[in-house]
Amino acid sequence: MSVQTLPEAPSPRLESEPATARPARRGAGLSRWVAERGILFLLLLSPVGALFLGLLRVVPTRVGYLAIMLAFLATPAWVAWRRSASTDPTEPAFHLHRYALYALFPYVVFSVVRIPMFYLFDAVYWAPWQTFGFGSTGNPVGFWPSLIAGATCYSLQGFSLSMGFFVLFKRHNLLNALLYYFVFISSLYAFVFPVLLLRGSKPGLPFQFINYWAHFWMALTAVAVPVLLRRIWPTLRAGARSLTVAGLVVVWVAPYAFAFAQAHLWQFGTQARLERGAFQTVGLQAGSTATLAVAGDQARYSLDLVFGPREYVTYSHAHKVLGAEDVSVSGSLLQGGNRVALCSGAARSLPGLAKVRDPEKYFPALERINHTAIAVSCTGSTEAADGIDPATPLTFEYAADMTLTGERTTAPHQLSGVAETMLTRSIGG
Amino acid sequence: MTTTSHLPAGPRPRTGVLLLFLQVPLAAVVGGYLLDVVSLPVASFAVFVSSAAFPAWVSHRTAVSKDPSEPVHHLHRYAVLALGLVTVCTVAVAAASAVAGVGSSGLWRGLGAELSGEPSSGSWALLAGVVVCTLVATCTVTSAQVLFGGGLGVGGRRSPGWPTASATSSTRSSARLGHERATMGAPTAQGVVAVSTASRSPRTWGGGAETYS
Repeated sequence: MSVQTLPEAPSPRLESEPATARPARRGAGLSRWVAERGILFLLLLSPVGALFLGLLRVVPTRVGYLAIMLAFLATPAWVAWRRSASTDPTEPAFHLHRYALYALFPYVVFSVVRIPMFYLFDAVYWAPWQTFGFGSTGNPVGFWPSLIAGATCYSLQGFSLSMGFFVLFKRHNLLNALLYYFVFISSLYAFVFPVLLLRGSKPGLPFQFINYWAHFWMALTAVAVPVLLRRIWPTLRAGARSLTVAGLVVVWVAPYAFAFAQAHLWQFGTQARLERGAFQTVGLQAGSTATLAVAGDQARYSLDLVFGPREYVTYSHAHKVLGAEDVSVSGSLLQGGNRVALCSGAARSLPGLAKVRDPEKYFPALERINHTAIAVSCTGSTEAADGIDPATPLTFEYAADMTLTGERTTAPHQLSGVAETMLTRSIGG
Repeated sequence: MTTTSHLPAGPRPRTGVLLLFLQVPLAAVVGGYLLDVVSLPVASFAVFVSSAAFPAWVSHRTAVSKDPSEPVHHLHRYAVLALGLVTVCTVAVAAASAVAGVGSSGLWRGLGAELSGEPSSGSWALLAGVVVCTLVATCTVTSAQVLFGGGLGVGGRRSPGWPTASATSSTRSSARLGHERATMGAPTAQGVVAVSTASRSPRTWGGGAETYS
């Protein structure tokens, strides 16, 4: 071993060293850090970067995932270059394959320790997976494709965050792990999910508790796995190794198996039941007033039917609105048993919340459209209009056909009713 | 004139894995766009998952490989060269399209629209399409260099034992630091032969398996 293999010791500063040399050395140290760790960290965090690009609305959500495509070849090329150019054996590029192995577990344990929280707080930890799946593929939430795609996205993000710890820190000790996972990532999570991601949910104390609880275990795992694989593993005998591998496999599979089993056995069925219940609750209410406009020999009456309440709560406690498509309304206005006008109205679809991406604006928007007005127009003769007694309410008989849509369920639906409405304003034509 | 003719050896298993990784973007586009087996966003998950495993594989191979001619040691050079070539071609195609109306951005836009879900007439779809096409082309050209030797005829691929700049620095650093790749610079038997032929002939390719003069 030559002298150059020894770790670089801090050189005593010479009295004659010029003051300008210090900033220059600091700059060199920074650029060296960037080359050794900074760029690799950024490249490895491309799945998280992709998510953030979409969440912060820098680019459309699915365009954000191009960041991973850009990193696909750039990362291995960078690793190959650093391995050929670097003279520092502690540089992460030399250990990336081992770090990749270590990084397989912290993010999985992050979910394993959230399984008890599902029973304690009814926190569905795989619900954000479906949001990720929808964001990356466009497949609707509440179905297998979005769940599987989202689980993959979540895994990639968790893996890259775990890799970030091993790349960013030279010493993979408990203090650094707690700083990275328990302080930094938890704080980021506590901000990002409620402010940018969790639309329709009201994360409270349980959310924050689970956040810090799970990241704490993530930190412990990030420290424990290298110890297990580098120090303990070589001392184990064949039987103990088999048991260890089996244990690691069980830990790795558990959160996915649990989430998929819950989704298959309970979530999808419960969600469908919740939506069918919401379908039965929703109704049409006629507005209390109608407006008459006379043009030539035609009298036109304008009135509203209010469709609602559209709000319902999903299996994962998200507040959503029922959709209604191909709405077709027919009816008639009557007074004293005489038909005054024939009515019709139509709407291809009612406004939804798909475009409301800001969780802060979500609930006000939901409140606005919880009861949505459908415009109905009635046409009758001017003679019939002349005979209307303004002091007597008109009877509005209506029937509506539509297709109701929830997260999982789509069903044709019919609503009908009779209401009394006052003719409050007449406009001569 | 004497001809030393050896048939080019097929890609070694380790090169095969590297090639497999490099083909993932192309496979995603073929499966998700051209053949429409799954949707393109779903197919692109193959790229996403590979993006986690690919650097780890490169790191692993460069750590355990004792053969300095193994393509994984030169991946950065191959990738940069491929990207340069693809960029020039892309700019040329774009310029031809803009100036002479030759070709069109239809493929880029179609690909980008399906991937991003944005309207094909918009700039996001165009950007997405250009990125995907560039990635596929760069990976394909890199694959060609991995398969047939780097350099694309510009300088040619160095034969085993003929230390490249990177191999030299690796060897130097390995020797100096007692690093895990300390044996990397040691020439293999094949490498020794190739050195002798390389010194006679400037045209050596196929990892030194075939030389001709």
